[in-house]
Amino acid sequence: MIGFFTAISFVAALAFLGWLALRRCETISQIERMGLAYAIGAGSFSFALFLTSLLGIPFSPVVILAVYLLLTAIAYIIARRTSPNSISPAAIPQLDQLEILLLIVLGIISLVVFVVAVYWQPYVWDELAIWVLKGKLIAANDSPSLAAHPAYPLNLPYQIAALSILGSDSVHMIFFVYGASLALVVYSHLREETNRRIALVGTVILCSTTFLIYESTIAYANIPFALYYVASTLCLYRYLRSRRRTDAILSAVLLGLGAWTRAEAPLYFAMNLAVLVLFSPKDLRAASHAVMYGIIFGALWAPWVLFVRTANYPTDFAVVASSAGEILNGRLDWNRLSQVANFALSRMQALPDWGALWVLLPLAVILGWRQLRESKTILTLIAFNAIGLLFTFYSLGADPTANPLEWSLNLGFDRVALQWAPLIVFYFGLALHNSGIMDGVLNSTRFRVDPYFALLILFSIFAIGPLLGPGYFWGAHDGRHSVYFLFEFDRAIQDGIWYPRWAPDFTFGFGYPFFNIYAPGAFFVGEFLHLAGFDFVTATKIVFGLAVILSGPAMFGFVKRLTNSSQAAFLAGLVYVYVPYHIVDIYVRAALAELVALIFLPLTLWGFYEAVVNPSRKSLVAAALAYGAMHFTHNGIALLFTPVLIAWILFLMVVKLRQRHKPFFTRRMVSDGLRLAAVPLFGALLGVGLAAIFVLPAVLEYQGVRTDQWLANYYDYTNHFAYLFQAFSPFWGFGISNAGPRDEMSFQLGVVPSVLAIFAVYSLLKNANGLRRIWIFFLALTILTMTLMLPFSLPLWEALRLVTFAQFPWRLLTLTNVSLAILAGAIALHGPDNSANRQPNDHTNQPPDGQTIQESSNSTIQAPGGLTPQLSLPIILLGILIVLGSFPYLIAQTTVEAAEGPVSILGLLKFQQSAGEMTGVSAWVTDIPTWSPMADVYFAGKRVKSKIEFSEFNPDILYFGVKQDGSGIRSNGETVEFDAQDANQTVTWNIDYYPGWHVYLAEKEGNDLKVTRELPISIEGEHARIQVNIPQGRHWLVLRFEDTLPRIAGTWISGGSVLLVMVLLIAELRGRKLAE
Amino acid sequence: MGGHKLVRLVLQFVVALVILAQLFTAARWMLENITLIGAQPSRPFDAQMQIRLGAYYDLVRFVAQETPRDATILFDSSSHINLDLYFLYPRRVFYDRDLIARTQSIDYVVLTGDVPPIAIPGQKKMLDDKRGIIKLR
Repeated sequence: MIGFFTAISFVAALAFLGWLALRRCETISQIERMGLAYAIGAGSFSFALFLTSLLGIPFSPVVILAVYLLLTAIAYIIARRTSPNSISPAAIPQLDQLEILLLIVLGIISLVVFVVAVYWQPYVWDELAIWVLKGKLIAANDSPSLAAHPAYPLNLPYQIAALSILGSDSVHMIFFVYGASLALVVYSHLREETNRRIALVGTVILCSTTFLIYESTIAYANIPFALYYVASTLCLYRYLRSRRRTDAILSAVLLGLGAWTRAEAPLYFAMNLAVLVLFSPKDLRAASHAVMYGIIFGALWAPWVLFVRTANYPTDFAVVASSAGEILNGRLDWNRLSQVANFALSRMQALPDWGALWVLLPLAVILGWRQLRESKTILTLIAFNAIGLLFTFYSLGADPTANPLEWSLNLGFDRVALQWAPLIVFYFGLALHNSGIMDGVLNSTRFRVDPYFALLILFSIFAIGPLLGPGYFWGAHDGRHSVYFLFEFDRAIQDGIWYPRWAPDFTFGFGYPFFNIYAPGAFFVGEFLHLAGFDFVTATKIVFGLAVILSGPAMFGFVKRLTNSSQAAFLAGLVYVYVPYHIVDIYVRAALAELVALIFLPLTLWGFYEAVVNPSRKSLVAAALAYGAMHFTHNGIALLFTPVLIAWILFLMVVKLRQRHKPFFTRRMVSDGLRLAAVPLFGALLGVGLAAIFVLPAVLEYQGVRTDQWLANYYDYTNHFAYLFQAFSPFWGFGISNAGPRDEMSFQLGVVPSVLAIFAVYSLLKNANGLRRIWIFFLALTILTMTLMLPFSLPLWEALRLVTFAQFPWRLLTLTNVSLAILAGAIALHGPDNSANRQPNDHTNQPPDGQTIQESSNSTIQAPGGLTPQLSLPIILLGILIVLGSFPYLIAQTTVEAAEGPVSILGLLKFQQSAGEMTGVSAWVTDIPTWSPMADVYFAGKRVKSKIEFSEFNPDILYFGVKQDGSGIRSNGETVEFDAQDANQTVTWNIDYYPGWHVYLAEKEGNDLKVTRELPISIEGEHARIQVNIPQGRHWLVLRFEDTLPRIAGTWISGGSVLLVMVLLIAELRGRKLAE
Repeated sequence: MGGHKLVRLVLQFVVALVILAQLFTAARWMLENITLIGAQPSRPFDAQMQIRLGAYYDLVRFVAQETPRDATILFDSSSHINLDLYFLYPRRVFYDRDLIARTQSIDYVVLTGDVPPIAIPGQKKMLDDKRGIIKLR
């Protein structure tokens, strides 16, 4: 701990030195000064120590202190000569919420990077060898020549040495400070050239680049050098615009200190000097500045170069010079250059390391297309830097005795490219600003975060606590399913199938049209995360977490819209997150798709509320999107919820019609009712249309799979009714639902939600906010669903065929989740007060806080100047109570690895073998497979290269040319060459037949295959395998799982619906603009 | 809504996507690291190195324990030159096998298990069945 505080003090002292030294630079902002303080202070301090050691003075704490005090005194004397008026005081900026949000993001990243940096001792081989060992040897007075890599300059080793002598091993602290300084410098320059928001956006992009933050946590000199070089380049850019001498001096000093940090600085100096000469006016003043630039750089570079030369240390100068000569003489080695360029291009795709940073440059060029001429300076700097980057590695490959070029590229390319990245972010910020593309977004002053909304998010974090630890709840009911569903989804996506329908490894490799009948919405999100670099388990955990965190805001938005009360919305949102069955869904059932669908229940209620109460194009689209999203994420939930939705729409319509029509039953009322029903009806149809790509084939082709597996025996719904005591029992378990009351899982409503719902009756009686009818609706829904879950409802289940809507009676708890949460919100409402007679269609009454209801229709976005709700202690305490009420249940049975081993096809097969799960079959299968030839191959540790059944033909008569690299087989089929000696041969694939499978005969034409005809499929045996008769001779077979008519129609309907939604939105925007 | 507005909308979407993609990559990195640290917040130096360097660290720690600080050590493989230098300092470290024949100054030979071991008489002390040290003098 002492070492940690020593390192903090060390950094602070050197930053103070730099801060004083920079006082002479009157034109730089306080933030830039802050960003440069440590770099200047530490660089000059270590340089002075180096000069001291050249004089033969041994390294000791006294020398360190003396040098520091001397430098501080000099900086102080120089600073005193500066007019105090010339330094603008640091004003505390007035930040809006978006800026605060961006600052919070930056704060979180900085905090995590700081923790990671100070936690680890140096561990990477070259950080230990080049920088830390060297520093420690300097500290031991082993002479500055030292052990490994003498050619590297000593800025960092001297700092490490001083830190070591002062008794601290917190070496990484230095590198973290350099990384943070780089962010500050880029921010300050962007702030100067653009505005605060764009500067913050740019800084967030920079600071979220994984490789950059990683480098800030290890002891490599690349981050310090990136700071020196980038700061120097940005000062040069400023100089070329302002012609202020101070900027040129600062740029030269920073690059000089860069030369004292890494050996490649002269190359960057040459490039910057070229830009300086190129873009300066051709006059005496500019020439004097260029000369001064060179002298300052030379003064800081020369001592180190002379030292290296006199000590006869090996350097790369000769290799670099020979490469430069090679290029100048026109003997460019194109092979070597293309190797470097290809590597650079390949790094563009390294999303987990570089994020989307490489996309920024083309994007910035597009954004800044109109200002391309004005941006020539910064673009030239970026281009020169890129050339320098390529040249660095081109020259490294010139020495045949050194390490291979590939080794250098793998080890060092990213680190050197670090220096390029901040320049691109800077240019991106400029382009973003000049294009004005984000003006409407970033300059919005309407974004005000409701404090209760923020509190809801904060309180919801506890619900995902078990997800944040290592491991995963592999033993949860669908824990493994959720991961392996994503695994199968990814298999198809990796084969270029943008909308997967077939899961190739279900049922021991026979395959199953899983995504044709199971809504894929959650897996698209998971796949996006997986493609972003997360492994399957982490991606699944993140989707779980997002589903939980987003469900609260969804309910918040709906209840806020209903009641215009943030407090009610807060309580409802919190209950929705923490109601026990929601937690069961996560940590006991691990029902990923269902959990994601729960987000859309309140959103659907909200969307259709608007469609009835406030019919417009916008409300129609909102209703359709919510309802469509629900269908696309979980068909079962959509089916279960649709009757409730119909009741909700009818209820709203009746309320509205009753207000308009007295007496109620008139002919006019009927026609008015039909008009009123049009928007919600069209919204529902459009919603289903949006999801038609899934819904239509799922409905029409559902009979193509066997469902008896999921409806008989254990799945018989009559064994899964809940008992009344279970609704109020605090019992918790991770087991399954059993026949009778001895279930091993909880069906409780939750003590806090139940009590809150009971107290909500008071609000109902008082007609709080004039919403009595709404409370009655949700109270009735709670009672009805509770009733239907109890055994005495069996006749109703049989009569109404309720199993069509819910697999098990206890799954109706999904509906009580919604109604209980809404009822809980009612407790925050007071008496009838000034909105006593408000009805669902009434938008003109003044709510208690003085806003119109119309203004507050965006739950988290309030009107300009709108009043921010004050936080109330009792409501917060109620919120805490809701969290505490469910807190004991926030546990997951996590293990680091599944019993089946790592996530893989083998793991999936082991899961199928041990649990009998993920073994769905098509309707043509009469005997469900328990093993397969593919399983034999995978269990032998090999790869399946073909699913053809090879044991069923004579290889002397029929020969197959299976590609040995496995490229012939894909998740949706197989391509294989054959040579049949006679015409009586058949081929059988170990794949379940299902509509959509086709086999084609093809011939090779050049590199392509040309299909000549389709071969009729016959369904073979009890496993319903695909079989075809093949003709004599040498041909190709192409097996493909293709779209059927319902799939094609569904895709077109979805496409059309998306188009319609866009047209409606555009019309809405246009209408709004015309109105303005 | 004109065509340029649609372009603007698309560009806004792309910019938002870029920022989100960036944040996702950072979130992943942060999550992995904080999880690792959170599993054992007060991990001692040896445990840290064990996580980062694996089996190699066991060997180098074994060598450091079994040899005096002024020892001259020959490694039979040069796969971790710089790490050997760091962890065994101030011991002197060599990698040229021929040194055994040419000089008498080698005190210990380290068998790394990476290559066929040097067959040389001396007092052997093994870390496991492949890795250990031979004391020559």
